[in-house]
Amino acid sequence: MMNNKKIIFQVTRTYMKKNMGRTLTTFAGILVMVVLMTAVFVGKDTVIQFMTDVITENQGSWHAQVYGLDQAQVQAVKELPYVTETEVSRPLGYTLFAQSGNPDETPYLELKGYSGELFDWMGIHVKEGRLPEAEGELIISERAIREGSTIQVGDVIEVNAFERLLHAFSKGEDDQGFIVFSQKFVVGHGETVKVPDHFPYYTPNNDFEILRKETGLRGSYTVVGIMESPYYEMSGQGGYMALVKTDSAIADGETVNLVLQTDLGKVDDMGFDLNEIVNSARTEEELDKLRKNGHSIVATSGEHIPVENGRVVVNDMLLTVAGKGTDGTLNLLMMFFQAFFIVLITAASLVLIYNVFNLSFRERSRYLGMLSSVGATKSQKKWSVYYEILLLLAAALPLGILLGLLVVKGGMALLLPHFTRILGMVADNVINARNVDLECHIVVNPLNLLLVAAFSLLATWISAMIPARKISKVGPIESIRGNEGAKSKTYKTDLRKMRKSKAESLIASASVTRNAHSTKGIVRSIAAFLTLTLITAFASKLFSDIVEQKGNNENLISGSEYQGYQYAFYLDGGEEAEGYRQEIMSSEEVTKYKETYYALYSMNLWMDRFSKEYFESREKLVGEYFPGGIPEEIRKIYLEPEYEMNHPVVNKIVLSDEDFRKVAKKAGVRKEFIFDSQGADRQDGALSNGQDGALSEKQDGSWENARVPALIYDQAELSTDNLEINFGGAIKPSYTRYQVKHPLACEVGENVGLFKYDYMEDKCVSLPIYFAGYVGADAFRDFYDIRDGQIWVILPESGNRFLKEHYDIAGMEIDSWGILFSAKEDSGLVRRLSLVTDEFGNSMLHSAEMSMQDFQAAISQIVKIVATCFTLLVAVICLLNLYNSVMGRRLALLREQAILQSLGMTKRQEGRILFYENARLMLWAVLWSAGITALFVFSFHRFLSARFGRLIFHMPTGIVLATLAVSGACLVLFTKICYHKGMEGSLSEEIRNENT
Amino acid sequence: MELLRCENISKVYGKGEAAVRALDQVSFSVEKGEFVSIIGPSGSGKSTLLHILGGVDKPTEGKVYIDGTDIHGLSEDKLAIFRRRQIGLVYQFYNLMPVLNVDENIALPHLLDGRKLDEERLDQVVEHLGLSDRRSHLPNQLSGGQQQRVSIGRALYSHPAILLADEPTGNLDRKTGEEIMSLLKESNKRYGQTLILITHDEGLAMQADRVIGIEDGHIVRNERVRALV
Repeated sequence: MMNNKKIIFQVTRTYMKKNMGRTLTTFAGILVMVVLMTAVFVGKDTVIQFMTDVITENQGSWHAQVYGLDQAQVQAVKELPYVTETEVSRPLGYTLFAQSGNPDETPYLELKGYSGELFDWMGIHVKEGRLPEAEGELIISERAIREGSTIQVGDVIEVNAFERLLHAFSKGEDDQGFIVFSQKFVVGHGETVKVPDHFPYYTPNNDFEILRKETGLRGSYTVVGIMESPYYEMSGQGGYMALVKTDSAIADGETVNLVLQTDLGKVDDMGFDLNEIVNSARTEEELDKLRKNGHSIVATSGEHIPVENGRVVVNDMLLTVAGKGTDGTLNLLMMFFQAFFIVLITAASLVLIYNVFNLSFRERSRYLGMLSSVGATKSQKKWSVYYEILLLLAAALPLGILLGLLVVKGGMALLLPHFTRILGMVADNVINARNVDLECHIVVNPLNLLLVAAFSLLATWISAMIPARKISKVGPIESIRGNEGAKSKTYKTDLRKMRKSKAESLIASASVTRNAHSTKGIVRSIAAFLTLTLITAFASKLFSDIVEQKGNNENLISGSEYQGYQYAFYLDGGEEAEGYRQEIMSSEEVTKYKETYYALYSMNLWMDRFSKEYFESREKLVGEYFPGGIPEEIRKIYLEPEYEMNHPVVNKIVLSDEDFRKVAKKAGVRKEFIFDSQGADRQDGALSNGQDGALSEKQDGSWENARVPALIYDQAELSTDNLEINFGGAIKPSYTRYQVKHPLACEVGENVGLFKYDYMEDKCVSLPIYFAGYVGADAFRDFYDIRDGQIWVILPESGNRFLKEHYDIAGMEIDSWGILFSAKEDSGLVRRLSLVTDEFGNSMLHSAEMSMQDFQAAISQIVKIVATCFTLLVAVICLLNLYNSVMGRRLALLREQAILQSLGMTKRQEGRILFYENARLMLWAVLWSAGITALFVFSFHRFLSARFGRLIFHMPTGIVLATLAVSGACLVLFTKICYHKGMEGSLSEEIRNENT
Repeated sequence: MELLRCENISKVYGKGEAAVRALDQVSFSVEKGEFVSIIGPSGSGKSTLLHILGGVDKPTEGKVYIDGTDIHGLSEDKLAIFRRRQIGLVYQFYNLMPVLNVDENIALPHLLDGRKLDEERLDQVVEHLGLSDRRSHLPNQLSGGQQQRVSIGRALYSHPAILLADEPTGNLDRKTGEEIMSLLKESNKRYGQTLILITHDEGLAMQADRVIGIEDGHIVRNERVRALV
C-alpha cells in the first residue's frame, strides 16, 4: 500500500523543506503537546509515588493492622481475596529499663515482637547496628539515648516482661464512678484493666494504682541496634520502644496482632471485612454491648456492623494516595486534573495542527491537484497530510518525552515544599511527625509513555482528519485554476458604506469577512488562547475551592485573630475539656493562648422571626423539591412548623467579651446595645438586668429580666446543600441557591426569638437573647469566614456562660471548643497533651498553623502552580498557533498588499487597515471565546456543584483582562513581525512573483 | 505637450557576476494623449520599464518625469499618492483585490485617495465596460475578460494622467483580447487618455500612435506609426 504513496511522500517532504518556517512551527506545536502529555502522565505517577514514599517513610508500608486475632481469625484474614501478605506483631509487655535516662517518666522498655518483613513494613530505620535476627536480640529506640540513657549496641538487658494492669480504687460500695484516661480508655472504679499500648507512667496516687503481672518472658537480650523512634512511639509513654524478632506461627489459644499488605486494585470494603472477622469471635451479648456504644461501619452494600474502635487500623493516608482511602476526593481530583489537562492540551494542539493544514490548504491543493491530474487518488492525497503529521510526530515524540521528563523534574522541585507541608500536616501527631527529607524520583512507567504516544497520535490524527478530507476532495481542474474552495456567494455593493467609510475600513472589513480561510485561523488561535487560559483559570479556582471545602470540611475558616500560635488543642465540651482548659490557661509553660468556641445546631429560631425575603426564599427552595406543589405535611415541617423542633436551627459563635465588643464596633453596632461585662459603657440598663452591675455579677438574683446581646451574621443562604429534603415524594432538584441579606425581621433591642427544646422535659425554653445588630463578612473576617450559609449567632463569653448556668438544657448542641496556644521549648504540658486522643486514637493536639489554614493554602498553592505551568505551556502552543496564523494570513495576502501598494496605498493606510482588521479579528475571537468559555464554565460549575456541593463562581477579572491584553499585544506584535518580514522584496518583484 | 519623460533609465538586478542589466540607458518621452506601445520579446525588459514608469519599481539609474515631477525623487508615501492620482495600471493577470466586488475594485484607488465616491462615474464606467450584471461579483467569480475589464475600469475611474497596460490581452483569447484593446483605444481616442501599452504582439503594437522597440534593455526602435491628432 505504501509503495503507491511513495511519490506523494517524496513531494510532501520537498514541500516541508521548502516551507521550513511552517514545518518548524507545526513541529514546535506537536513537541509542546508531547511535552505536556508526558508531564500529565508521568507527573501524576511521580506525585503519587513521592507521596507514597513520604508516607511509607513516615509510617510504614503496611495497609492494615488488626489487633487481638486468634489462629482461626488470622486464617480468615489471610483468605480475604485481596490480602497478599501478612506478618505478626506480638505485644510482649514491659520490662524495667535500668539504664533509662528519664526514670521518672519512662522507666520501662515497651517490648514488641515483629515477624519477617514487619520491621520494613512499619518503617523501622536502623540508626546504628542492625535489626534483631535471632532470639535474645533487640533493637531499641533512639529516644532512650536522646533522653539521657547510656545504652549502646552490644549492651545486655535483663528482661523480665510483665503486663501493666491499672486498678482504679473503689470509693465505696455503690460507687459507679470511672476514670477517663482517654475517650478510648475509661476504667470504672473497682476495675482492674490491662493498659493499652504506649500508656504513660504514673506514680501511685489516691485514684488508681498500676499492677504488674509477669508474662513469663525472661532472659538476657543483647542490644544489636539503635533505631529511629518508630512513628507510633509517643513522647510521654511509660516505656521506650524495643523490638525483637518473633515467629509468625500462632499457637493454639494465642492472640496476636496481624499486619497486612493487600493488592490495592482488588480492595473494596477492607475495613468492613476485617471488623466482621473480629466480630466473628464475639458473642451476641458482646455485640449488643458494642451496638450500644454506637460505633458502626457500613459496607458499600449498605450493611451495618458494630465496631470496637481501635481494633482495626487502616493506613488511611497510604490508601488515600492509592485511591482506596476513606475519602476518595484526592483520587477523584487527580483524575479530574488529568482528564482536564489532557482535554486542554488536545484542544490546543488540535487548533494548532488544524490551522497549519488549513493555512497551507491552497498551496497543498496546488501540488496535489497537479499530482491528481496525473492520476493521484483521493487516498494518496489524504496521506500527504497524514504523512507530514506522522513524520513530525515521530521526531517530536522522543524529544518531547525527554523534555516532558525535565518539566516534571522542574515542576516537582517547585511543588516539593508544598507536598512536604501537606504530608507533614496530615501526620497524625504533631510532636512525633518525622522530618522527612526525601528526594523525588521521576516514575517512568512504560505504559505511561505508550499512553503519551497514543494520545499524541490520536490528537494529531484527529486534527489532521478534516484538512486531509478537504484536500482529498480537491479536483485537478479547480486546484490548477486556483479556484479551490471558492464560494459562489456574491456581495452586493453597499454604496452607503462606500460613501461613508474610508477605504481602509472597507478593505479591512472585506478582507476579514470575505477571506474566511486566513481569518478563521487567527480567530481560532486567539479564541483558543483566551478560552483555554480562562477555562484553566476558572477550573483551577474551582479545584482549589473543592480542596478547600474538602480539606477544611469546616463551616468556619479562622481569621487572622487565630494566627500566630504554635499549637491547637481541641476537645468537645464537658468537664474533661474544662480541666484541660484550666491547665493550659494557668500553665507557666504557656506563653500565650486564645480560645475558639462555636456550636452547631445550638438553638432554634421561631420561623416568624425570619424576614419576608428569607421566608419566601425558603418557600421557593422547598417548592423546588415538589414541582407539583408543596404537600401539606412538608409545609408543616419546613414552612409552618407544627412542632417546635422543626423551627430552623441556628449555630453560635462565642467570642471573648473584648473581641465581641471589637466586632460589634467594627460592624457599627451602637454602643448602648453592646453587652459589657464590666458595666462601664452600658447606658441603657433596661437592656440587661435592669441593674447597673454586669450580668455576670449576680447582684440581685433577678435573672429573669436579664438579657444577652447577640450579633447576627448578616448573610444567610438557602440551598439544596443546607436544606435537603429526601422524603414525602421529594425530587432532588439541581443545585439551587438563594442568598438573603439580613435574614431576621426583628429590630435592634428586640428579643431575637431563640429557644431551646428540652427533650427531657419536653418543652421549649425561650432564651433571653436580644438583637444587638448585624455583622457583615468584612467586620467579622479577622475572626471567622463563615461558609455554610446557616444563621450564625455571635454571643459574648460572659453572656454564653450566663446562659449555660441558667439555661443548661439537654439538646442537640454540638460544641467545638479549642484553645490555641504557644509554649516554651521542651514543654512537659505539650508532651502530656500530645497523648490525649479522641475515640479514634487521633491526637487532640495539632500544629496550630497547619490546623488553621495551611492545608488549604498549600493545596491552593499546588493547584495554582500546576495550573500556571500548564497555562503557560498551553499558551505557548496557542501563541505559536497565533504566530503561524498571522504569518499564514500575511503570506496569503502578500499579493493583495502588493496590489494595494501599486494602487497607491501609503504605509499609514496599510497600518490603519491592519489595525481595523486586527480589531475585528480580536472582537470575533473574544465573542467566540466568551460563548465557549461561558458554556463550559456553566456546565463545569453545574457538574462540580452537583458532585461536591456549593461552589461559588468567582469571575477571574484580573486573569480575563491579562489574557485579553496578552492576546491583543501578541496579535499586534506578530502582525508587526510578519508584515515587516513578509515584504522583503520590491513591489514589482512581489507582483511578478505572484504572476509567475 | 510632453507628459512623460524618462532619462537614461537603467535597471540592474543582482550583484557582481550574477548581475543582470534589464534596462540600459533608456530614454524617451510621451506626449499627452499619445498611445505608445512598447514591444519586445520576452525578457527584453519591457515589463521592468513599465513598472519603473508606474513608480512600482525604482531604476538603478536615471529619472522619470511625469507631468514635470521626478517621480522617483518623491518619498515613498508621496509616490504612493502620486501613483493613485496620476497613474492607472493594467496588468496581464489583472491584479484585482480578491475580496472586493467589481464596484469596490473599480472605486478603490479613488477611495484610497480619501475622495468621495462618484456614483455617477462608477455607473458610467461599469456600464461602459459591460459589467452592469456583475457588480456584486468577486474577481474569482468572473471570467478572464471580465476581470481585465474591471482592471481597466479601476485604472480609468480616477482619470489618471497616464494609463500603463502590461500585456493586457496576454492572458485572454483573441476575441476577448480584441474587446479589451477596443476599450483601451476608445479611452485614448474618446477621452484623450495617454496610454502606454506593453506587448510582444506586433499586430497590437501597430495599433498605437508610436511603437518603441526594446531588446536586451536597449531601445532599438522608436517609430511613429500614425500622427497625433
